[in-house]
Amino acid sequence: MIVLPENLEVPSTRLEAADRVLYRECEYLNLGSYDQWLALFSEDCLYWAPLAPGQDDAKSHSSLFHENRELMRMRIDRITHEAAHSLAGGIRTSRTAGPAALREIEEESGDWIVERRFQMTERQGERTRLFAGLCTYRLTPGRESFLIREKRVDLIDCDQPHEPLEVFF
Amino acid sequence: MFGEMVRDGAVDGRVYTSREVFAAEIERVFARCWSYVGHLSEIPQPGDYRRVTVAGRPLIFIRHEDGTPRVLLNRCAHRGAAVVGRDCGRARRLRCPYHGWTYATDGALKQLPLPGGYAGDGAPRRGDPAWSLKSYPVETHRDFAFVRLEEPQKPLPLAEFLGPAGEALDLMADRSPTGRLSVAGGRLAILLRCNWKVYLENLHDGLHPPHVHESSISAARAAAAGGEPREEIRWVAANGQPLAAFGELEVRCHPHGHSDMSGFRKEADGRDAGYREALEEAWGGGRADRALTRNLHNACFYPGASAHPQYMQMRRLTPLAPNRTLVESWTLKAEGAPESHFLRNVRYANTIHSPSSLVKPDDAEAYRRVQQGLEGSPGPVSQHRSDENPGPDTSTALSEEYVRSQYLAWQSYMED
Ligand code: FES
Ligand SMILES: [Fe+2]
Repeated sequence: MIVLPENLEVPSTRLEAADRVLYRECEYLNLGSYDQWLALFSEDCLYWAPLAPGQDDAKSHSSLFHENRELMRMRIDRITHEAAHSLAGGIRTSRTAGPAALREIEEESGDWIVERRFQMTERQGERTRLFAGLCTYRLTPGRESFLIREKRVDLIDCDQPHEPLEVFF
Repeated sequence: MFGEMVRDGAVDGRVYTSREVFAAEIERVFARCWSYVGHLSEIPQPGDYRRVTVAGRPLIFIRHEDGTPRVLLNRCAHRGAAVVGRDCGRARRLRCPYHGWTYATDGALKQLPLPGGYAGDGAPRRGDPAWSLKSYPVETHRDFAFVRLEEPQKPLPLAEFLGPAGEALDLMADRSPTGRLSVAGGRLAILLRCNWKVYLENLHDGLHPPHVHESSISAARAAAAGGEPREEIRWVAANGQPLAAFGELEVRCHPHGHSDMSGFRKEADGRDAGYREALEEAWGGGRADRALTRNLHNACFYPGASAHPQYMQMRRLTPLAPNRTLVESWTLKAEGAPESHFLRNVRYANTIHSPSSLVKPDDAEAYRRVQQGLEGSPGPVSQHRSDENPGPDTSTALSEEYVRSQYLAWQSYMED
């Protein structure tokens, strides 16, 4: 259940809806259900993994990932392509998330800013890797549920060298 | 003995896998060549420093108080502790964290605690060069700094070592009407499970894209189907051009193993108001035009660096083990050039040089497969591919001429 800031009350149905989106976001990736995963995002969405700790600008500074919906789609098409040689040995991932906390509800947009810690273990070929960090979501409220407008992933070792990073965290 | 491993357009597979060959390469190739150590803009003020590893040595790239760039061994003259622990910073003096020996920014020993306590002839004394941080020769080309760690039999000045390959660095500096560049936008770094030479042998390989990059080409084509594709998609899709088009790309092989290739992924960069004029004013018409239109892709400064002037990318390769290589890349920002160029170049770096690149994993997998295939077997590896109409100094991206040229240099260094 999402942790609320003090002095903020939110109807429990909204909280449950946000919780469901966050649960699915993680689980669809674990299952490799990329189309369903992408459907959780808005048309104007952004997937961003900064290269530097605390990075606040993705235009004049490089990022590990910086993808709009079109580029996210292109990544999905590549990793699910039969000739993706690097994935020929298969890839299995398991993400676990810590408790999510609602940081704020933006006044102007009504967007929810939610954070949670995550760990991901990735098994690819004979290699197993660990990733950990903070995910920050911007959730846009719709009539019934939320769409993800931005997912930001701050890896604790974002500024270190990595072997190729192929799937989303 | 190493020289014999290269013969008749083929090399012995062990040049990629043997620990002995690897150790010799570090000492004979990497330590004796000019190695790219950094750009002067990374250490703008006296005392600014960066840690760098070249040829297995821990180094400090630092601006001395007189303004000159220096490269020091990050190894305390007392008991050997690495004096500098941060990746970068600014310091007036470098103080060893172990027993407090303190050095100036040129490496001179300035202070040692209990100076009377070091007895005997040859004991450490302040200012004694024998007890300073070891310092290496540094030379720059248009503010790109190179270091040489060991003296070869026939030492060459940097300008002669680079020769015509230096053009790629000139093209970058000439994109600024003041000639001033700065490293900006962070460092991207990717680890590869292959020998360093496998990486260099791919730089102008026009035969591999349709096979290796099928998955990203197909994804980019699907993305481009909607109309005018955004540039990230275009850059990925460029690998899908027909083989004949790769056969049009001119590859030049320079002395000492360097090479470059022209024509791949071309941008029209002369259209911003006032920019071309500013460059013409600074450099004259011909040179300004070259800076804007000449596109050298993956220009290689053998053995350890590569540049892509059009997108202002500089890369350094660091061999970590026979089957491990680190590749780092930086974007350079040209003073007085349109901001839009810089922002595009950052996107280019994200698309092509980030570990998350859609292009890179399949390259990395091909390199890994080469490494896997060669492990433990001494048979020959072919580099025979030629153009149908090879010229005296040029070839195309369908020829392995540049690989053979790399091995000519390799052989001469390894036998030196
Ligand atoms: S090792 Fe540096 S002062 Fe002792
Ligand atoms: Fe490639």
